Amino acid sequence: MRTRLKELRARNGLNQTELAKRAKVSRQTISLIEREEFIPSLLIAVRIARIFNEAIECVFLFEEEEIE
Amino acid sequence: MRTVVLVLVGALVGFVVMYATLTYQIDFNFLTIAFQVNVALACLTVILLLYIGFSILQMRRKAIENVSKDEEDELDIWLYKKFSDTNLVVIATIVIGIVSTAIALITNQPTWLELVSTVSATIAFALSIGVSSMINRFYPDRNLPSVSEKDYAKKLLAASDEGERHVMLEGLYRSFNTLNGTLILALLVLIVYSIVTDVSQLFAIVLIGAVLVAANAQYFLLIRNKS
Repeated sequence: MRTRLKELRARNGLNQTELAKRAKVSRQTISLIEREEFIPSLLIAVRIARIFNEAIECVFLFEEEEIE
Repeated sequence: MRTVVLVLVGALVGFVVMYATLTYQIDFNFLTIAFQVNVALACLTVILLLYIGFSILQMRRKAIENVSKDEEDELDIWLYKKFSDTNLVVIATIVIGIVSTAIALITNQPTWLELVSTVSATIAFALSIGVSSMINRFYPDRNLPSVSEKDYAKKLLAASDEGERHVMLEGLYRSFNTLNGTLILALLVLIVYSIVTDVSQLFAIVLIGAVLVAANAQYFLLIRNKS
């Protein structure tokens, strides 16, 4: 899974700490997701997508073979 | 499978090295260097205690620092790494302090050395509580348990989010595997040592065996009961 988290943070002028507070997770979790070392739960993924006002599949990008 | 092979190879290498060492240095007597080793370990414990004290002061100062938005992430990363490093040093200091105390008491070293070793190990233990409580200073807005609370470790795990748990799981699983392998290796070394030197290490062998069985039983029973 790839993620556009870093790009979206830059677009919205948010640092990791601020995004973490808004998504109600730790900064470490945001950092892990951003480095693509951890796939978040659906709940956190939805929260993050809402913060950026984007659809969930526009924030977290799956390869076709990962979904099949 | 790979781990089993690695453990067996490690055990074999350990056996050969230990057997060769004991064959050639059978007359080695630790008592002749016990004082020097004890002084070195006691000094190391004191140096590490000073480092821990200095680190706590640094973290306390940094935790209340007002930083700009751009520096906020860097500060959190610094605190996170410093906290992890200090915890590692604390654990190392407690272990070195206990070993130092053991050498002092078992080999009848001078009273001052026994005292320095014992007090250092006790201070290290006390500082471990101080270091653990730093996390509450870093994240006052998070509902983290206090170190003095009952079932602190359980409550801290419950208060951690899924990313933090993912990191902890990875670390603990690696650590568990390493511990299993090295303790089995330690058992083999103690068996060889006992046979070659005629100095029985049976008590330690039984103790390590019991620890291994207890730790693995706890892990596998937990997995089994979650079926």
